[in-house]
This record gives sequence, C-alpha cells and structure tokens, in this order.
Amino acid sequence: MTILLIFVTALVFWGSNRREFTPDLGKEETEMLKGVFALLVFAHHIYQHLSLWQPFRVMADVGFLWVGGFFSSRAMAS
Amino acid sequence: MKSLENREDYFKGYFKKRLGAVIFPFFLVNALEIIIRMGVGERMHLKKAIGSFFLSPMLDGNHWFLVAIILFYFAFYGAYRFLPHRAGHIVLFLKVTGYILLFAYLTRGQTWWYNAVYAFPVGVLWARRKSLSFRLPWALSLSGFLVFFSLEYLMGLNRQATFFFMVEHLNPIASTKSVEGFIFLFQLLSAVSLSIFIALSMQKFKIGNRLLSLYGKISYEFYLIHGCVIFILKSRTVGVGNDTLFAFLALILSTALAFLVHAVVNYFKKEKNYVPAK
Repeated sequence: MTILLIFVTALVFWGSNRREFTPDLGKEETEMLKGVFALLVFAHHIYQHLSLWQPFRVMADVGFLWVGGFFSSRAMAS
Repeated sequence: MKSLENREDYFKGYFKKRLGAVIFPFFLVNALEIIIRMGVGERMHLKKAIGSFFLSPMLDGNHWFLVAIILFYFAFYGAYRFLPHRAGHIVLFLKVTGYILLFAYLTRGQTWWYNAVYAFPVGVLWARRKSLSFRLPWALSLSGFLVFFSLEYLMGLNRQATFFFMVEHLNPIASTKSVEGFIFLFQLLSAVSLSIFIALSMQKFKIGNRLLSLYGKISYEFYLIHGCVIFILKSRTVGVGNDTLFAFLALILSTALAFLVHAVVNYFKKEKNYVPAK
C-alpha cells in the first residue's frame, strides 16, 4: 500500500523546485496546499480500511495532522 | 486574512461569499450521498433522508468539518470586523478555545472534532506574517513537531510499549484520564507545529503542477465526497475486497465526483453573476 503515499509524494515533488526565500505565499500556492492536505486526509481514511504492516498503520491514526494542515491552508488562502 | 489586509471592502457580502462557498457544495454532496446510499441498498425513510440532508443525523463523519468551518467564519467576522487586528487575534484564539471546550463536552471524547482546530487561527496569523526570519522558526517548528508527535505516538498509538501503559494499570481511572488529556494536548501541538513547518518550508520550496492545481481547486468537494465513495466501495452491494483496487477506485471516483460537484457549483455561480447585455 505504498502506492498511495508515493502518489501524494510524487504529486508534491513533480514540478517543484527550491527558490530564494519568499515571505509571501501566493494564493495559488496556498490553494495547492489545500489540495495536498485533502489528499492526505483521503489517504488517512483509506488506510483505516486496510490491513496494514505496522509502520503504515500510523497513517491510519494521524488524521489530525492533515486536518490541521487543511484548516491552516484554508485560513491562509481565504 | 491576506484579502482582509489588502481590501477595504473585505466584509462586504462576507457571509454570502464565505458561507455560500462551503454550504452550497455541502448540500449538493449530501443530496448525492443520500441518493447513492439508497442506490447501494441502504434503507432510508423519507424522514431520515430529510433529516440527513440537514445534518441530523450526520451521514458522513467527515462532515463535522462543515460545522467547524462555519463557526470559525462567524468567529473570524466577530474578531476582525469591529476590532483592531491585534485584539482580533486574541478574540479569535479565545473563540476557538471556546469551540474546543464546547465540542469536548458535546461530543464526549470524539477528539477529531477539536484536536486540530488551533491550526485555523494559526493560518490566519500566518497570512499576516511579515517576518523575514527563517532558520530559527523553521528549526523550532520541526523540532516542536518531532517532540510533540513522538510523545503523542508513544502515549496514544503505541501505548502498550511505554511506561504510560504501566502507569495506567497502577491507577486505571485517574491515569487514563490524564493520559487522554496529554494525548489531546500533543495532538493539538503537533498539528499546529506541522502546519507552521510546512508553511515555512514553502517559503523556500515552490510546489506546483497541473494536477496539484486541480486538486487545489476541488479540495473541499474532494474532502466532502471521499467518505461517501469509501462507503460505497465497502458496502455489501459493491464490496471491493482487494486493497489496491479499493484505493485506486476510491481515488478515481472521489476525484471525478468532486470535479462534477465543483463544475455544478461553478455553473450556478456563473449563472448568478451573469448580466445580460443591454
């Protein structure tokens, strides 16, 4: 079940790059961040339905981290 | 928060704009969910269907988010509409604390209702941050996250392997309550520190591609609909047993349905704003 995590990770790193320090994140970037956290919440709920190898079981219990990110990115974007 | 700082008329039509953006998609998703659930064989009387449409009872546990975000939009308005920003920040934090206390009482321990909500005022504050310092806050947020999450993991997820487990067995009633309290505190702190760490990291790391842009646009609809999709795929009628197929179908169907709902919402938004040529 690594596929789901690889998909989300690849999605974040595809087209990404290091840049000079930018204090102000743009609206589009915070929108994308919302998308990343929505996908992580989704993965968290999917993992709750799977029989998992112990290290992956953590993912089924850490929804609060992704929901927190979803809240903060939403607050930033609006 | 950014828009509030840049636009003087930010609060003009605030409720219509903010609440409309979360409530309308919710009702669409909820109506769709009722129809789909009945389609896969769930027995639902008219009374229950109407009640479920208005969140009583809540069909999908994930929809608590709607209740929280509506209350936070009201809290945001109350905090920043009439007060200077500094006082507004304090009022917003107090209101979110009030939300935590209220829902800790109402839900009797369903911690997902309130264990990450401080991230909302943190996000509001973050959007206003003008500081150019990076390294120290970055290191602090990362180490904060690692410490709080490790403690949460040891006390909550892997409790049997720790001394907390032994403490609980010595005095089960008192210590279980205090351990639960600490777990909640560490969940709250790790969620907040991770949010800060990611926001800081993005100041030096640019993300962006077409697919992520799409998920960014449909994130709310995707969040609302995925619980329903999981329910269908795990229902007796459909019952997908293979884990990989289940995850793959859930992702594809959730994305497609979220996109559909988003398109419908956009259509009505455009129709409403349409001004015929004279």
